[in-house]
Amino acid sequence: MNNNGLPFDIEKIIEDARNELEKITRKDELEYWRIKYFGRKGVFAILTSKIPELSQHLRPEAGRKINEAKNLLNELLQQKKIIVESAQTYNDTGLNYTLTGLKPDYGYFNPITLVSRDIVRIFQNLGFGVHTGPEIETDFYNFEALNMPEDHPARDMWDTFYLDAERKFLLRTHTSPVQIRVMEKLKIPFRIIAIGKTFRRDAFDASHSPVFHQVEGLMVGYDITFSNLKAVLIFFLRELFGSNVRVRFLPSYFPFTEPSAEISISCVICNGRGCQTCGFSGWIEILGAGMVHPEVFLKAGIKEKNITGFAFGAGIERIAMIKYRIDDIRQFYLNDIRFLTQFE
Amino acid sequence: MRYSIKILGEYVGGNWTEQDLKQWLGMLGLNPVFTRENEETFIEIETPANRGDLFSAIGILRTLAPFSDIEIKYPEKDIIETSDRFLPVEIECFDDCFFYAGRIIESVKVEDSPSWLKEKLISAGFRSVNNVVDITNIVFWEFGQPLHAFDLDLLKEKIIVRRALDGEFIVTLDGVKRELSPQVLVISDSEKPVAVAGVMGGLNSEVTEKTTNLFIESAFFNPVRVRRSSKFLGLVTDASARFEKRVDPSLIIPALDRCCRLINEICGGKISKIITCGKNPDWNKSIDIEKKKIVQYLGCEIPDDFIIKVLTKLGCRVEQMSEYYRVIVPEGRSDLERDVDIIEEIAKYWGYDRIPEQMPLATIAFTPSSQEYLMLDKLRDIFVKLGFTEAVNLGFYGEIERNLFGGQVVEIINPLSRNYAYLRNSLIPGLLQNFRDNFNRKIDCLSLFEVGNIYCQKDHGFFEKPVACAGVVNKWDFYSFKGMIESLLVKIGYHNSVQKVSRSDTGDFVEFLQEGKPVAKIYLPGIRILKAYDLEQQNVFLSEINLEKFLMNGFPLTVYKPVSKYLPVKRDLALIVPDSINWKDVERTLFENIQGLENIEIFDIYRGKGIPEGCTGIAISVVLANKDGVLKKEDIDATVQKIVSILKESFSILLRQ
Repeated sequence: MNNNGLPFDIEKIIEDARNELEKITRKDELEYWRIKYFGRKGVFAILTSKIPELSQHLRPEAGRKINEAKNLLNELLQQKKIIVESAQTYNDTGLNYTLTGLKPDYGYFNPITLVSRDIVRIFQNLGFGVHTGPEIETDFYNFEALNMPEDHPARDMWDTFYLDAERKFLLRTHTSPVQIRVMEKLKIPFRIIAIGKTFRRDAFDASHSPVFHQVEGLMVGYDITFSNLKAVLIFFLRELFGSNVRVRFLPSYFPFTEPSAEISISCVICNGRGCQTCGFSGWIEILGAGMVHPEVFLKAGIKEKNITGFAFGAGIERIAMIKYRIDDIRQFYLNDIRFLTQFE
Repeated sequence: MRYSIKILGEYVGGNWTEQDLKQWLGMLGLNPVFTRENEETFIEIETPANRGDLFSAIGILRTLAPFSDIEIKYPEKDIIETSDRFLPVEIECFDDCFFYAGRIIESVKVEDSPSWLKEKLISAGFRSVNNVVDITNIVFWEFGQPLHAFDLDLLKEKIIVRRALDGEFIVTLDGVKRELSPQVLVISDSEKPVAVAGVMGGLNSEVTEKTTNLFIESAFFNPVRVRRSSKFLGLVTDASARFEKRVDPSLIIPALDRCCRLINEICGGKISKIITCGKNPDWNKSIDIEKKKIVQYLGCEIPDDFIIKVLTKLGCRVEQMSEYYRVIVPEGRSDLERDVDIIEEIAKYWGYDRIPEQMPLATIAFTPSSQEYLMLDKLRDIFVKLGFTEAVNLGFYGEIERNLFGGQVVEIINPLSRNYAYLRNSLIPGLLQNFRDNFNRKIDCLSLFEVGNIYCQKDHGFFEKPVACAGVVNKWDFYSFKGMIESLLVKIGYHNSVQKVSRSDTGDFVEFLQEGKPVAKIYLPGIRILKAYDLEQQNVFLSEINLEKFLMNGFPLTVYKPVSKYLPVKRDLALIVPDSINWKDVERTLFENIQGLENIEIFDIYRGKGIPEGCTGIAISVVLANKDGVLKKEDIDATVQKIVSILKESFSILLRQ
């Protein structure tokens, strides 16, 4: 053993102290340890008191070694203190401050409601009013007034639930009947949207549901053009999906609009590069729209010649599916609380 | 419809690339899908319901014409008539069929098609049957005119286009025996129906390898009639899909001739003179389009020469006047009915993407909203604030719900399945179903609400009314739940409801009445219902709220009430309340009779030791206030004394000693 002539082995003292410290888990044990080494009659006090007994040339070296050891052990003490104190779970209040709190009883809105609210907000900013119409409709409002007389082949586009044998009453297959109802009621010019349930005789699969929600829009006035339609819908889609979304207008066919358009946005998942969601086309179809067909104006009792308007429609679930990346429309109707509580 | 680019190319002079086709068809919104098979490229397009013309190669080429300088090469159709055979044709009603044409071909050889024809047919999406049938199909593909070949020797005397009789039958080419009705238009000989007009031929006149003499039919059948026949029989064919979108009368004879020419080439035989009945109506549909209307509709100017070029290439005759165009549309484009249809054509070929965007000028007044939608939305806020999560259910009942809950329900006459056969008359079964589903996923503590319509049938009409429903499993006790519902009812203006308790075989109810009419109820499902939803032993409370009165009257106005400057006084009373007492009566009586009574709060409910049988121990705080000054101790004591004596005398409620 080489103690450089000192009468104590400082390395051994450090090692012992370290080993003792390691085993300590409780606050009182730590205090005990602290007193043993740093107390008034502790190890370091005793060692220091022995320095004057040493020969002159050994004194500085002994003082330095003792100080180094003291600093080291004090550092370890402070670290241990943090560990020991935070491990002290139950305190005198009887509370374990470290336990995870109970989950709050928040209620959650259905994603259909959340998306509807986004849409309403955007259109209210553009001065559109929100209107409603019945879910049980008549053949007249759902088909005939929308330029689909009996036996019109376009009726096949909507497989319909009927409530009576004469097929006069039905569950609306789209929100477009609201167009007729507001045209009968409101003074021109006006602009409205309507949101509600629609029904189609489609069996459930990942992208079809016999019940789903639609938003309908209608703007009628004396100088409404296709280029107005484009501007309003591009504004809407960019507000909803972000300002860098690209919007594409292509011709389409609806009996109640002419010209008709199908509107797609650049895929928000792959940014238009092509992925599963957009069928590798880079585009997602999102809206049907067009200029109100003159026959529809006539059916709604509007005879003035220079009145024009545009209308559009979109599926709420479809928008929600794109926005929240939901891959199966059936999710909306399972009311699984693990699904419903994901949307804020 | 499916087109091979290579085969389509046989019908054009000039060149195009796949890229051109992709762009053009895309611009027209036909959503072309390109596929490659055996080194050939196929296009499939979506055909809009009003574009029957796109069901043919010629139709597609005509629609692409404005994009390019290619020329359409019409298929050869010259024939030599060498047979003298004749078959009389009669039409019973020209409304059903205004023109019927046919030719006889004698001495043909029916056999397998040559391989080039087979390939062409398969690439067009048809199945090869024999050379004659294959030729009728390929000409259908070329012209969009469905054709039918009969075995002439199986036809008795003549052809009659007539309605079927009640009780008549036909076995169609698919081998199915079908009962007919006067709804259905048939082709008949002097004895029996031999085809369903425009839908499918009959087995009794089928062309087989034994056939030597043919009768080829090419006709115009009324689109509505074909649609009704097809719906009545539940039979949709390529031909019926085409006829119900109106065939082009000007192609009836060209298609017939083309077909006979090909048969003569491939199967041999001698072609007769044409046999016809009826005639095509004169076609001279002209549409005037004001030039300023184009701008008014589209919001931009489109050059005259572009408009004239597009319409001319589409087959229209265009005359330009100073203020308008006069356009005579081709007979095959029955979708072009009025000026806006022509404007759409112009916009399509111009390109929707080239039409500039322009926000509407702010000359239009803002349109106010209907209150109903916004009020229902605010109602959702209240439920969510109370901790309920929003469910949305389809709104259907099946037999199960109907049997469990009874009541009148609206029946769907063509339901998707027995589980969705009725419209709901309550939201409660939907929430119970949601509880069960969540329960099965090991979530046994939750609260849901739904706002939606219920449906009923009265006299000869159908009605829907908005209701709200909330329910809870194991999350809160009855009193917490009831407190939430009571506070919600106050928020929507259903103050001071009378409460009526009842029990039925579905469970217990607390009904809330306003002016004698029920506006809401709290429902504790009975054991039978809980069992049906796998919720036995669970604490389930539900409430359904009728929203009609709320939607009529709106949210109650918020009016500030001055807060008393003097501190209120609270006194606690421990009461023994007989179970027969309706607590709402107690509250009402006290509020009516005690001046300065601000509130009665229940803070403890106890049954068991120390409380007589048939009674409940209820601890209440009564809050007394005086807006004019501090209450004196004597006044407080006197008031409390009065409360105690009212409780005792009117309700036999005693203080607990």
